[in-house]
Amino acid sequence: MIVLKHVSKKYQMGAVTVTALNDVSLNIEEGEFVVVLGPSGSGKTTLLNMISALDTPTEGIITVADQDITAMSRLKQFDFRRNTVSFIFQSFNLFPSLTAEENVQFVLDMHYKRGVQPTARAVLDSVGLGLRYHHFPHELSGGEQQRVAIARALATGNPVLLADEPTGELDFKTGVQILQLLRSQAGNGRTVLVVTHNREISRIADRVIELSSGEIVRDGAPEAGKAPIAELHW
Amino acid sequence: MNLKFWLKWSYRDARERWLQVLAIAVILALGTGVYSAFGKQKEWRIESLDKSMAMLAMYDLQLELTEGSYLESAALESALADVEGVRVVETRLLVPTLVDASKEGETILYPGRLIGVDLSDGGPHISRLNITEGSGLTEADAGTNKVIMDYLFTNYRKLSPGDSVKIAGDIELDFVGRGQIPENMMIIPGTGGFMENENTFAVMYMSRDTVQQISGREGLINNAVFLLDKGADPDAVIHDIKQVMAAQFADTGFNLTKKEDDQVYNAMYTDARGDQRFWNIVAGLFLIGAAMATFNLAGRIVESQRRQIGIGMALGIKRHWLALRPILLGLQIAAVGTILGLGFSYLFGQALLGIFKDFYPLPYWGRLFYIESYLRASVLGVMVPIIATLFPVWRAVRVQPVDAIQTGYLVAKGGGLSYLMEYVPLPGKSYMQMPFRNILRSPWRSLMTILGVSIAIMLLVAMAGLLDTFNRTILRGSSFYTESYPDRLDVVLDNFYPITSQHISDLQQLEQDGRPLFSKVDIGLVIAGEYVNSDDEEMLAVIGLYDPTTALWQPTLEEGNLPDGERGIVISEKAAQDLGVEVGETVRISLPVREGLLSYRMEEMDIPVIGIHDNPLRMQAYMSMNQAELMNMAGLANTVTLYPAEGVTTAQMRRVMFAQPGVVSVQAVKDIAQSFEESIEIFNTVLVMIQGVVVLLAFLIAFNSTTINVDERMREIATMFAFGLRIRTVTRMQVVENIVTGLFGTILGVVFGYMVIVWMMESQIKDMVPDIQFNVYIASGTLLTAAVLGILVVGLTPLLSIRKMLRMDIPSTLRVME
Repeated sequence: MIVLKHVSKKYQMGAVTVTALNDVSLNIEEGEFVVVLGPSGSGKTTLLNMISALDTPTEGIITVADQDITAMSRLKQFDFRRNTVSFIFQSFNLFPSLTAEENVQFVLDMHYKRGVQPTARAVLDSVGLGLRYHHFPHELSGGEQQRVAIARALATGNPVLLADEPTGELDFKTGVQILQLLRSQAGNGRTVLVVTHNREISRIADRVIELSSGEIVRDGAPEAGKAPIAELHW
Repeated sequence: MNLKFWLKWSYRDARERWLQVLAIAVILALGTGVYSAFGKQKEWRIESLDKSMAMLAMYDLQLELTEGSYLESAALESALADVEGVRVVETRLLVPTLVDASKEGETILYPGRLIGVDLSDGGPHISRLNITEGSGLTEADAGTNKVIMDYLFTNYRKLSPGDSVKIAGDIELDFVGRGQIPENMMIIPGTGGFMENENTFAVMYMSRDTVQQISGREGLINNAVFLLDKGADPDAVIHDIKQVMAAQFADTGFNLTKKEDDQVYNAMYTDARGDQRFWNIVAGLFLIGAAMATFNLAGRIVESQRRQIGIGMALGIKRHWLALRPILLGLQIAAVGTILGLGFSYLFGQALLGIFKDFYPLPYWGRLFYIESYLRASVLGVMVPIIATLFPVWRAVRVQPVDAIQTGYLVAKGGGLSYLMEYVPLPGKSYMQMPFRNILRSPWRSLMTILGVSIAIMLLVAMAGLLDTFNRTILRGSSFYTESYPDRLDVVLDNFYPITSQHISDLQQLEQDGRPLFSKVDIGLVIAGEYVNSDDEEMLAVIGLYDPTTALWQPTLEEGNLPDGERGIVISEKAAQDLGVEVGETVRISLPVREGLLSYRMEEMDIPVIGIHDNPLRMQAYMSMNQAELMNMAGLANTVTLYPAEGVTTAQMRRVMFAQPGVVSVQAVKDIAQSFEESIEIFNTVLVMIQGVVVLLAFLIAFNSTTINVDERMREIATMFAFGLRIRTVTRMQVVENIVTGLFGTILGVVFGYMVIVWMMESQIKDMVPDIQFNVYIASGTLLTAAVLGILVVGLTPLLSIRKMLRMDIPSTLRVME
């Protein structure tokens, strides 16, 4: 589903060249729940940006759902993001003037789908927000806002879910609920990529990719084996 | 913490938003510049007038002999030269004439006046000629046909030295220059023609000897001007002159005028003082508009730094230090604004100078820059951005530091009024409904943007609307006279003639080449009187009496009936308003009642108002000819209205009429229409200039308001991009939001602008131009310009952000904390 071949990303900061990613190669299969782990500055967010075509690598090739996004025009990148990947942000980035239902409808509208309202409600129901359709973001708790963000990402039906520190703003209990939701999506055939610095989260992943200074330092199953969500604590 | 550090930091803030900072500074500069240039116009004009009058040595006293009286020049000069207090005396000969300066395809045939001046010893030394083009007159020109034509007449008629000029008697003059003397800087023809001015009356300056020869009055003069000794009492000198005149020229009537009582001198100074009230409002509007816009825009820039202020608070930095950074940003805007304001002040000053030089070519025009006026505007220019920046600082420091610095969902702002959209189902996809929700989501921000746009539109509508109102009034006045029979001529006679007299009969039967000149001649009376009102305000009434059974042209009415032979008067709407009368009520008018051949007494009489006519001129009124008996003038006439016969042109009629005895004014009604235009031309010209500035100001305000709006939405835009929404869709959403904002701003601006015009008309123009009725009118062109600027330009402003969006670093923007 996601293939990176010798991907590097270098930034020119004045006279200094900063390497955010260095010769990264990996292959993520469809339906995998992958946690990208690493401290700040390790290159995990850069990796996410590359996979989502928000940024382009300096070297290497990235293929997502059989599309070479490194060779894509800007316009095609917009199409790619619309039809292939969906985002869940640390700070949710909901549209404050839209209700929960409308935030979900927003992406459905983009896909030119008819009968968007029942779909939006169904997705919100699936994330446990059946009673919150008409609430504006500021009327929801942090966990609820993140669930709307997840519902929004799910509603697109895109095969790849990209989550950047999805529990970073949430308390433990809510964070666990969100992780459960994301994991269940992998079970439904979506590829889920979660970027985090929280090592605990990696315990529930199918696969953990650990980055340090822009390089993959570990790639494989969780060290102590895949743990059930109920065992998580932080 | 040192000042340098904060200065550097605030400089970076300014540099980061340099385009907005510059635009705000230009807005401020335009306001400061206009205020500075217009705020001291009175002082500038008076200073220029004072110096010009001194340079041209305008007379201190003028002696005018009664019409038809002449004295020997040498005798008068020697008799008056020894009067105590008289420094210099010069004599002049003023002779009425007819001027023919016709060019190919254009007949320029008007009454005029020859002023013969003493050229000896480099004269005239009193009321000198200010030559604006060509050459002046020297002693060597005495006795020659060299003539200096009046600047204003030649300016309007586009005549230059070298053009052909003839005067009555088919005398060809050598037109060598254009110029003016101080007391003729405005022309008051005094021929009795209606609303005549410099366009229809040509004043010419020649050597006194030549004018004496042309008029057949060798050695004679009818006018003398004096310069008095420094400190001499003019009244004492007048007293002495009167005594000398009584002793030596007992049979000669005369009139003495002090400089201060000279009509033109007075009018020039009164205009300068009176006009300032109008320009004060214009300048004030600009400054207030610019100040409000600056307040709005600068405040919003600082608003975006609230989180950083919170961080400062968390770090324990004292509030006054925290306030310093935005204040320094405000100061930088102010500094750039006031420096640019200096340049704009100079530019506007130069533009005004050009306009005024064209109307009044004084030998001295000072520099239109008054440091006091500039400083006053600059103080406001400096204060406004600082106050504007303080407000968001004050808001920021009121909260707990932890509330100010926290990020993420906890700072999610409320939905504002967007819940209202739940009740207004809109068609279309959710992202096309977002613009409307965004407007309601942040009511304060939306209101600020709407206000920003409305200020711009208000200025535009107020200035353009004033012009529209003036132009509409001109058009109304013109069409009143020219809607029917526009080729007719109004002829004023030098006296009252019996209708049955040979003179009137001769005029009616004039022919050219054996063919009648006129298809119809209406005989009439024009009487000047005064409306009597409770305020003792002087209200001139010029009453035209005509025979309604035979007259072709009659006034157009708004209400009531035309004169029908019964007792009654048709007055203007303005007169009716000012006197508080309606049709069916009576007005009290003081009118001259004839007592003898040349003697009259004024008598107040009540006359029923039978109609209200459509002329914006207050003074104009109409009655039936048979009502002349009220004034004991039954059977008399002093005007004739001529309608050309088929194939006869107005120019031909004028030429023939001017040659007739007893004719003092021949006026084509089209000239009256032009006179309307002239009466407010200077306002119009300056307003046209200002309009360009308004459009620029409006664009800058609108542009800045909306670009700040777009900047504030960048994170949302990045989210949309992350979900694959295309730039064109996002731009379309912004355009829709801006169009809606612009629409509200424009509507509000038009309403504000209309209110400003009404206020200006009621509080200022009504007093400044009491004789003309101005009905507030905003032309469709002005509304269209306002709509284009307020809706279209504001609506399309997001297009200017496309480049910014294309270059957007989406990941970074997504992380920006609101």
